[in-house]
Amino acid sequence: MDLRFTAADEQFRAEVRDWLEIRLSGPFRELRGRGGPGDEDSMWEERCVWEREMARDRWTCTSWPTEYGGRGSSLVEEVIFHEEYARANAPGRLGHIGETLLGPTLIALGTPDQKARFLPPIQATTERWCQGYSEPEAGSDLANVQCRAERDGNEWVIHGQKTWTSLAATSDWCFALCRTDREVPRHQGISYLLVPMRQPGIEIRPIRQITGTSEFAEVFFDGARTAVDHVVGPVNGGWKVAMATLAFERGASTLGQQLLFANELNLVIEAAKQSGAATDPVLRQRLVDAWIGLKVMRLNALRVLTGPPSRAALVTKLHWATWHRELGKLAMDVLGSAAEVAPAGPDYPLDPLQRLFLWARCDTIYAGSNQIQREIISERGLGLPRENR
Amino acid sequence: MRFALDDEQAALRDSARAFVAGYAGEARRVTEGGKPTAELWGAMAALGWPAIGIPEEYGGIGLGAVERAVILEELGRVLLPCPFFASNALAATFLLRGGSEAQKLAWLPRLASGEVVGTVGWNVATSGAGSASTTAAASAAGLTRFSGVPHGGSATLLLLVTADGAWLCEGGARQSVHNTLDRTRELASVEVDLQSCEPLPGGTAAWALALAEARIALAAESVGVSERSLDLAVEYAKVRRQFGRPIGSFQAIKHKCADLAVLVESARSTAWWAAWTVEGSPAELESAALVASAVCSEAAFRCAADALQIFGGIGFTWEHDIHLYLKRARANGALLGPPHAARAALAAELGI
Repeated sequence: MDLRFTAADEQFRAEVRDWLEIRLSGPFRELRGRGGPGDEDSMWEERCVWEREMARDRWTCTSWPTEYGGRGSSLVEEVIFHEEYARANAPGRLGHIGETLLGPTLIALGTPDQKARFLPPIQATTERWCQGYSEPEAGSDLANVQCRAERDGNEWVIHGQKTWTSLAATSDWCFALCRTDREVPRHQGISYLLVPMRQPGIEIRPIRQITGTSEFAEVFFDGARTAVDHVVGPVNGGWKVAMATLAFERGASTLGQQLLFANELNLVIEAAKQSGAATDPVLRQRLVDAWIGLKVMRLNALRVLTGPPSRAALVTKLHWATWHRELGKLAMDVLGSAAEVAPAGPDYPLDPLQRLFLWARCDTIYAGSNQIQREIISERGLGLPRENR
Repeated sequence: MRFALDDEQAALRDSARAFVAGYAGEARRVTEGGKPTAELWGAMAALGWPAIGIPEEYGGIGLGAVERAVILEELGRVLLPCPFFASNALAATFLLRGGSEAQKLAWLPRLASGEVVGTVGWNVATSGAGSASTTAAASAAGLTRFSGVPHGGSATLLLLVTADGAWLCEGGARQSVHNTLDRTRELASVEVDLQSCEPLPGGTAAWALALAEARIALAAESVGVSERSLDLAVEYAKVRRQFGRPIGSFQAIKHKCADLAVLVESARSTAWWAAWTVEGSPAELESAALVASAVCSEAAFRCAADALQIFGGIGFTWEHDIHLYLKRARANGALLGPPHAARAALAAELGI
C-alpha cells in the first residue's frame, strides 16, 4: 500500500505544470478561473482558441490510444493532468463531451469510417459535441425516450425534443438516443444517432436556470436529418451503447474536480473568518466536516483509481454531489445576513458563493440523481432486489 | 501509487477472518456472563498477532499499523472479546514511543509473545465515572484512580498517563472490572500509587503519538463494526417479507442501506489511509488520527443504529446480536475522544 506518486509521476506532473505555466499566460491569463460550472457561457471565443493551443501540443484526448491521436496516457497520468489543470485554474473545457463521452464510445463501438470521420476533429477541437439524452418524459427513466427517427432513403429523419442539453448552441454535432422501433419493448427500440446540429430542422431554446444563466437548452428536432450510417452500434441496439458511454468515464477527472472544490472550500473558510462565523462552535464543526468530506472524497477516488474493483466506485457521485450541495448551504450560512445581498449590476448578478449555493442544487439531480444513485448502490453494490416497476 | 491492501495484507485479512470465524459465538457468550475462552489469546499469540508492529529486535515480528488495522477490522466484525487492542494497539505502541531502552527490552518481548497482557490508563477519574466516594477514598489513600481502562481487570502491565507524566506499573494496583453497556470489551477501574511506579520517560509527548496510533487502530475496528452491521441488515432485508415482498425492495430500506454503504466505503478509505500514515507519512499522523476517529466512529454508530432499525422489533431484543454492535459502536465513539472533539482539534490545526 503506497499513497505516494512515483518519481516518474512527479516528473510528468512537472512537465504538465510547466506547460500550463508557460501557455496560460499573456492573452490567455484572463481565462484562468473562467468557464466553470455556472459560468459556462463566458469568454467562449477565447476558450476556443485556448483549446486549439492544447490540441496542437497534444494535451487534448490524452487518454485515447495514440492511433486515434491521443497519448495513451495511463490513468494516473490522466489524473495528474486533471489535477494540474485545476490547480492552474485553467479555463473550463468546451470539448469534454466529445473527448470523454462520444470519443471513447466510438473507439470501442464505432465503425472504422465513423472513427476516421469524427475522432480527429474532436482531438483537434474543431468539432464540438453535445449529448442528446434527456427529454421532458425521459429524465431518470431514460429508456422512455420518445424522440423518433425514421428511415427515408439514405437518411434518418428525426422528430422530437431533447432537454437539459448543455452547450447545444455551440455544438456542431449531437449524439442522440432516438426511438427507431415503437413495436418492441422500450429498451430494445432505441438507436444511438449522430446528428449534425447546424441544420434547418433543429431549433435550440435556452433554459433559464435558478442562477439566472442558461447553460442548458432544449433542442427541437423537426424533420432534422442525418446520414443512415451515422448510427453507433446496431439499429435498435442503442441502449447498450448509451450504457457503455456512461461506463467509459474512468473517473480520472474526479481529482481535478476535487481541487476546484478545495478552492471553493477555501473561499468558504475565508468568508467564515471574515464574518466571524468561524468562531461559532457549530459552524466550526460544519467547516471541519466539509474539509473532512473532501479528504474522504480524495481517498475514495484514489482507492477506486488504483485499487481492485470495489463498491467504492458506486458511491462517488452520491458522495460528491451531496457534499457540494451542503457546501453551498454552508457558504450562505457563514455569510449570515450578507448572504442575501447580491453584487450591483443588471440581470441577476451573483457573487461566487451565491452562485455556488444556487448551482449546487442541480448537482444532486443531473448525471443520475441521488435517488437513482441509491438505487444503483443498493442493487449493484448490495444485491438488494429491484422494486416492481 | 496503489491504495489497496498488498497481497500479504489481503492474505492476512483472509486468514484472520477464518480464524475469528471459529470464535463467532464469543461475543454473545461473554455478554451472557460467560467466561472468555481461555485458549483464545494463546491461539492469537501462536499466530503472532500480539507481536505485530513490534520490531524484531524487541521480540516482535515487525509489520506495522496497516497489518494491525487488518486484524482489528476482523476482530470488529465479530466484536471478539480479547486483549488485542489493549495490549498491542495501546500498551505496545505506547511503550515503543515512550519507554526507556531498558523498559522496552524488559517488556516488549513479553507483550509480543502474549505472555503478558498490557494496557494503558489515561482517564484520571475526578468525579462521575464510578462513584465520587470511591474516587475520593482512593485519593485519600494516596492512590490515583483511572477509570475505563481497556482490559484493565486482567492486564498485568499497566502504563498510566496523567497531565503530569507517564508511568509503568506492574502489579500492586487495585483492579476492578466495571459493569458496562458494551459487555464485549472489558473496561476496569485501576487504582495505583504512582509514586511506586517507574516513570515512562517519553511522558505525555509520547502518549500524544501513541494515542494517535490507538485512534487509528480503533478506527479500523469501527470499520469492521460498520460493515458487519450493514451486511447483517442487508441479509435480513433480502429475506424478511412484508406486504408480499422482501422489505429490501422498498426504497426506504434500500436507500437507507445505500447511505450506509457510502459510510462504510468512506470509513474504510479513511482507516487505511490513516494506518498508512503511521509509517508512510508520519507528519500527517496526528491529523489523520483525528479524521479517522471522527469518520469511522460515526460510521459505525450510524450503521449499527440503522441496522437495528431495519431489523425492526427483533432488533430491539436482547437475543438478537445487533444491539451488541450498537453498543460497541457507541463505546468506540467515546473511548478515545468523541467526534466533535476530534473535529474541534482539527479546526484548530487547520487554522480555521
